[in-house]
Order: sequence, then structure tokens, then C-alpha cells
Amino acid sequence: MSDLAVSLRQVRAEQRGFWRNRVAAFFGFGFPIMFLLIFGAIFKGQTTCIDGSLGARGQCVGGTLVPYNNFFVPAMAAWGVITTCFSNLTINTVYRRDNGLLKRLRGTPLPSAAFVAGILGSALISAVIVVVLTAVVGHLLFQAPWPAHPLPALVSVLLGGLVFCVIGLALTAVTPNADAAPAVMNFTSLPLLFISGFFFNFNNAVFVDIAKVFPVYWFKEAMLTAFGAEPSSSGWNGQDLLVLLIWGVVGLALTLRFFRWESRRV
Amino acid sequence: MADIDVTGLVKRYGHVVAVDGLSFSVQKGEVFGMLGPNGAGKTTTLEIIEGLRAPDAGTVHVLGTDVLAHPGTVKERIGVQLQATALPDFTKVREAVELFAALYRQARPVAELMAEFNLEEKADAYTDKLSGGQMQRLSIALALINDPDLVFLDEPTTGLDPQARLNIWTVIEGIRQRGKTVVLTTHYMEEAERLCDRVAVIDRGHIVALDSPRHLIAANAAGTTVEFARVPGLDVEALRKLPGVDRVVADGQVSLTTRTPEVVLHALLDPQAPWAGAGSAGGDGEGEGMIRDLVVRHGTLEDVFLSLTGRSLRE
Amino acid sequence: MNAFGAFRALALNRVRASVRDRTSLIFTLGLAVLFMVIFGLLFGGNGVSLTLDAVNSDNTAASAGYLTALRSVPGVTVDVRSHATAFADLKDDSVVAVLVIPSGFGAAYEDKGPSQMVEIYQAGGSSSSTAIADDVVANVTAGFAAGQGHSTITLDSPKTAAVNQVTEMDYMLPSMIAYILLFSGVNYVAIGLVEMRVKQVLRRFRATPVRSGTILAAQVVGGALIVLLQILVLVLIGIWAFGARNYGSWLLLIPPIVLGTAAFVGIGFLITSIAKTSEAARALSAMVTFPLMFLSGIFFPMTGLPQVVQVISRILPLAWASDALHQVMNNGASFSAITTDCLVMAAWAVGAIALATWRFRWD
Repeated sequence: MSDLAVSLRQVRAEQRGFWRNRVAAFFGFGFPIMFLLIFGAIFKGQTTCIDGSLGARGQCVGGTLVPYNNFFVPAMAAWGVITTCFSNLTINTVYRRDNGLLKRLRGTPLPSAAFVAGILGSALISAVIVVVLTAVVGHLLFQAPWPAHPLPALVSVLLGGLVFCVIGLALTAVTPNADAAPAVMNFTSLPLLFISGFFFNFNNAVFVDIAKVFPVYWFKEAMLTAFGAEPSSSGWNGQDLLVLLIWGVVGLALTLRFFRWESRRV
Repeated sequence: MADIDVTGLVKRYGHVVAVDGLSFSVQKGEVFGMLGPNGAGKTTTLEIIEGLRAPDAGTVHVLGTDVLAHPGTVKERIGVQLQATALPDFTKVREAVELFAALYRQARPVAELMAEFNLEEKADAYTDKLSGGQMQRLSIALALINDPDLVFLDEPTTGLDPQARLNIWTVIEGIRQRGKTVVLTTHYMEEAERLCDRVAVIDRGHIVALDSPRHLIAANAAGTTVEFARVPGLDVEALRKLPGVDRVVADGQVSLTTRTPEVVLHALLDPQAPWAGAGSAGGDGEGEGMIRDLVVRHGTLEDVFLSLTGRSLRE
Repeated sequence: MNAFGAFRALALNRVRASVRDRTSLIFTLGLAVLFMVIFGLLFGGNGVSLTLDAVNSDNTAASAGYLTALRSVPGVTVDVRSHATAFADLKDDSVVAVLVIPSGFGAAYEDKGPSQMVEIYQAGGSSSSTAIADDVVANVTAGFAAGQGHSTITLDSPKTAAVNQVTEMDYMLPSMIAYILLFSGVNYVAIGLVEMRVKQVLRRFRATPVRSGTILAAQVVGGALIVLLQILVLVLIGIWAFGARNYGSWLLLIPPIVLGTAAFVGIGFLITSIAKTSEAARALSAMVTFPLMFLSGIFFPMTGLPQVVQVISRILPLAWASDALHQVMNNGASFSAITTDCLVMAAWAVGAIALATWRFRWD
């Protein structure tokens, strides 16, 4: 009981901190919404080809032709999850490590596990909120349909969020200091977002193959399926979730092996 | 003419009056302390004198120049250490000294300054890798780069361990020995008592007292307390009649309060006194009298602050 | 007083610190290089619209039908232009190809005249968008002719117009210079200067006799020097590692790069007069840089986007910087072709720096 209570209290503290830090809230929430507004307005009424390639005549070969915003809303929701769980969490953790906060936390009776649980729990709550917000904005402003399969959507968000949190924590090991953290985050996430087709159909075969190595692509796929942008009877896609899970295990192993509680002093 | 002349200084931040009509002078060659709790207005006052902030009212003359009219002239001749030691990122110690040397018309040789402050060994270290004491030494060295006549040190030892603090005190005493005027703020009593010729006690934007530490203590503190164990058979009434004793409290131990501790101690330790030598038998010391576990406690600026403002310095 | 000595020492310190911040430097440049590779291969590729100009010397119902058939292909835009305009468009890369419909097209289609060939001109080179344009036009032409059961309409084999053979990397290099102008220009000054203010470094500098203006100018110029340094490295990587070429004059690149740097550094400086904390500066920078990156045609052409977006992009400085750089490097344009670009960037630079100087707060 007490471990759970401690963790829950930590979740609450983290959430409070997140919302009080308007900048973190902006990067987690404002950013995907801002992109949704810009691209949603630009491509409103147009269609896009998901998972296929544009043929010589511009037709959608082997994919699904859907209204752009049906695709873009789940894509931006996925990005929101990646921002809150991956980028924000990592930058924040490196910042705390630089400040000596992590080291100090270890000196308190709070178990490390409860602290980590607090961070993860809070990030997941934020992730769910950003997805809901994106869906609402997309529906109200751009007539995107509501998520077709709510339960798979929720499971995808929670699993995907957790996986990105763990990978983010592993990445803190190669991030030397807080100043460099945003650059490292941009470098690792932005190109993957592009080649995984977050903004528009991207089907250069080589890059899609590269994208398929990383979890970003599979998370987007899972979200598109759950939101109903891709045809699916149940909204579940076992392959997407399996790849995410594998990445989660890899990330966890790397985190346990390489995570540092103190900044490296030269 | 005094090195610093401040009259009627006022600084407001919105509705908060940070500095409320301060006037004082600092004479050439003295170490002038500003003592007060956080938020008393010390730093604001200092930064106005340094030409970093404009006051809402009042005049400030530094080294004979009106700071408000000619800040550049004044800045050329003063040395400044800010409260938060702030240096640019990714800069090595030697580079920091060279950088600041380039900002003055005339600067002391970099090597000489680094040798004087024991910084040579750390010359190629990044400044953010220095220990607190080393950082503070560098920061004071930078304040002296232009060989100023007047040096401002804002809380030079805050956050340092006792060893590093002693080291910085020696540095400041060295600055004073070279005839420079030093203005420092602190909320450490020992620091003000040891270093300062005069101390301005500042509370809520006002100077509540301004004098040498010794006079401040004498005038405002209860005086010196002499304490010792209350051994059975000790004649407390006789103690009350001793010359110079203002007050006696006797419970588990005896406390004598006095303004003339030399006289009282002399009488207490007089070998002819009734409590000398012939104490209760079998003491482990030879010829031990009834005055045991003697402690002399001087009044401090802490007491002064308490008696002037009714509040503790660290509140 | 040696004011310049102080300025130089401050600016040098700023540049040196930024160069020493290896991780930030490598990842910022690395991202530009990655984008170069990704978008270089994507450029003009699938999913991005194809824009063609058609010179219609025929003007019959048949040629109109042919154009409609072309336009019905998703992603394809065909504008009817005069001969001169069309080839100018081709030269400055606004279109991937020019179709010339001969005057006997209608007659041939109706079987009332000799067979005709539609001519296609392209910028040449190995750009994948050109190949796709050929493919699309060939398919549509064949289908159009076959639909009538005639073979009187054929497509001539593609001709290369007398323009530079711009490859993807040739196109991406000026794009990435614009990208560095934007990201490093805004970020280095915005975040760096706010951090110096928050950490009281600026205050410490002000306690010296150096004038406030000199301190600020040194920081801004220092930031600009870092941007120029990064561009230099990027250009060298582009040339040596990716074989990118500059068809224009290196000297002519100086005005757009310098003015572009000034404009974006100015915008970064402007952010410092709004942001109170370095996190806020980071957020504001991102809010400026990311939309601009997408709305200025550095990754993909703006043609095909709604009119409103194009107008917005024409107000913002990045589209102008990108245009000038592409004009010089890809088309070998002369200064007169980039004069407007340079003037707009100069106006942004002066406006932003003036406003920032006016609004700047030291605390």
C-alpha cells in the first residue's frame, strides 16, 4: 500500500510541476496543436495516401486514400505523446541531473522506483490529455472523425507513451548537459518524424525501411489504426504493438545499464 | 572628500520601497560593512552606488564623481563582485581574467593577478568546474583587475565552507592592507566583526545603526557574559558585590553580565578571593578553586541586530 | 578607451563558448545534414505536387480536354502560360517541366490534319520529379490518344531546356543554408542572451566601464559569427560529401547570407526582449522557427499550397532568403535577380534589431 501511495503522491507532484512550468506544457501541448492548426488549415479538404505510394498517375497504390485531416489528427496526437513522453521527459531529466536534483532525491527516503514511477505516471497522464485535446480540436475545427476504436487508442497511447519514456531515459546517458538536451532531442526525433510520414506521405522505399526500424513509425501506425484512418475491423494491430513492446524492453535494458543520477564532472 | 557619499537614496519596486532614504559616507581606506537580512536593501544600495541601477531619489558620489551623471568614469575606477558569481559558459579561468582585462582601459597583468590569487593551477579549468572557494577567489580577482581604488564585494563568503571563508577573509584583509577602500555586504556577524572598520546595520531599507562593530556591540548588546559552574558553597551574594558586575543569574550555573570583563575576571581569578584554591576537597586539579568551567562570551552583532530591530538576522 | 578591444574580446568569448559547446553544435549541424539527405532524396518525389506549365498554341476543345485529363491526376497542377513565361518558370525551378501543345493538335485529334507531337521540356538532370513528370505526361497522353482510338497524338521525347542540371543535392544545399540561418540565427542569440541575463553575466559585464550598446552588439555579432561558421561547415560538407554544386557566383552568396543572418539574429534578439527565462526563450524560438521552416518552401515548393499560406510565406523573411540562395546557387542569377530578396531581409534585420534594442531589458 505505502509504495503505491508514495508513487501516486509523486505522480501528483510531477503533474503539478508540469502544468506550472508553462514552457513544458507548451512543448507538450501547444506544439502539436499549433501544427494541427497550421497544416490542418493548409490541407483541409485534400486527401492523402496512407501506406501506399503515389503511382505515376498520382494514384494511391497499395494504400488508402483518406481526407488529409483524418490522417493528420492521429499523427499529431502521436507526436504529442512523443513530445511529452520522450522529448520533454528527457530534457527535464537531464536538467534535474545537472542541477543535482536527482542525486539529492536518492539521498531521501523516497525509493528510486517511486520517483521513476512518478515521472512515468505523470508523463502518461499528460500524454492522454494531449491526445484527447488533439482529437477534440481536430474534430471541431477540421471535421476529423472521433477515434474509431477508443480502447485500442488508449492502450496504444499508454504503451507507446511508456516505451518513449523508457527510451528517453536511456538517451539521457548520451546527453552531456541540459544545454545540449534540446539539440539531441531534435536530432533524434525530427528526422524520424519526417521519414515515418508524420506530416505527409513519405514513401521513399529506403527511408521507410529505415523508419521501420524505429518505434516512431510503429507508434504512428498504431495510432492511425486505432483512430480509424486505416481500415481495420477491431482497431488492434498486433504487429505495431509488438514492435513497440520490443523497443520498450530494449530501452529498459539500456536505461538500467546506462542511466546516470549525477552529471559527469570533467 | 569621502570615497563614497550617499544622500537621501530611495529605490522603489512597484509599491515596495527597497531603499528608504539612505545617507552615509565611506572614508578612504576603510572597510565598510553593510549588515542585514536578505531583502533589507543591501544589494540594491550597492548596485545603485556601482552605477548598475538608477535610484528614484537621492545623490551618489563615488570617488568625487556623480555616479548617475558619469557611470562610465566611476566604473573605470571601481571593482565589483556581484552576489551571484556570474561568468559566461565554456570559459576557462585564464580566459575569464583576460576577457575582463580587455574591458578596462588599464588592467593589471593577467599572470600577476592569477599568481596573487593562487589561480595558476586552475588556469585551464572551465570556470563552472571550480569549487565555491576557488570561484570566489576568481570573482574577487576579477574585481581587482583594473587595480581599483574602491572595491565592492556583495556577500563574498555566502555558501562557502569555513575553511574557504577564512581564506577569503585573508584575501580581503590583503586588499585592505594595500590601502584600498572596501565595501562589503554580509549577513555573517563574525565576518563583519572581523573585517569591518564600520558597519551599517540595515533593516527594511533603513540604516538603523552605523558605527564600528565594537561600539555597536558595546552600545546595543547586553555586554560580555562570564559563565561558570555553580559549585556548592559558592557565595553568590559576594559575586553580586564584585566591581563591574551588572547582573548575576544563578541557577544550574552562574552567569555574570558586565561591560568591563577585564575587571570582573581579575576579581574572579584573584588568588586571595574566598572562592580561590580552598574549594571542595579532592578535586582532580591541583589547588582547584570554586570557579570551574569558566566561559567568557562576548556580545555579537547578532545581539545588536536583535536589540535594534527586535528580530533575528536570519529570519 | 579601446572600445573595439572590449567588443572583440566579448564577441570572441561568445563564439569560443559556442564552438566549445560541441554537442549542441554537432547536433544542430547534424540535423541539417540529415535533412539534406532525407529531403534531397524526397525532393520532387512522391506525395509532393508536380507543377507544369503548358504553352497552348492550339486552343481548341481537344487541347482543353487534354489539359483537363492531365489536371485530373492527383497532385498535378498545369498552368497555361505564354512561351516566355513558361520557360522563365522552368529556369527558376517553379515548374518541373513545360509542355508545348502544337497548333495542329485539335485538327490531328479530329483526324482532320497531320499527326502532332506534344513537346516536353524539362530542367534536365536526374531529378526524380522530372522523371515522374515525364511518366505522368506520357501516360496521360497515351491514354488521351487511345481513348479516341487514334494514334495521331504522341509525346515527343523529352528535351532539355538550356538550364542548369540541378540535382537534389544542388537544390538542398541552399535550402539547408536557409535552415541554418533560421535555426542557429534565432536560437543562438535568443537562448544564449536570455541565459546570460538570467545568470547575471550581462549584469557583471555592465559593472565594467564598457558601454551597454557594446556589450549587446558583441553578443549579437558573436551569435551571427557562429551562424556564418556553421554555414561554412555545411557548405563544405555539401560540396565534399554530397557533391553539391554552386552554379552561381560565391561572392553573390555573401549578401543574402549576411543579410539573412542579420534578419534571423535580429529575430532572436527580439525574442530576448520578450522571454524572461531561458525555457521561455526556447519555447518562443521553437514557435517561430518550426512553422517558418514549413511555410517558406525550404523543404518542398510552396506552389500548390493555398494562396493564404503563400502570402504569409511572402511576408516572412525565410522565403526570401531561400529564394535568393536558390537563385544564385541553382540558377546562377545575377544580383539584380536577388535585389528584392536582399531588400526584404535587410528590412527585417533593421526592423527586428531596432525594435529589440528599444524593448531590451537588462534585468
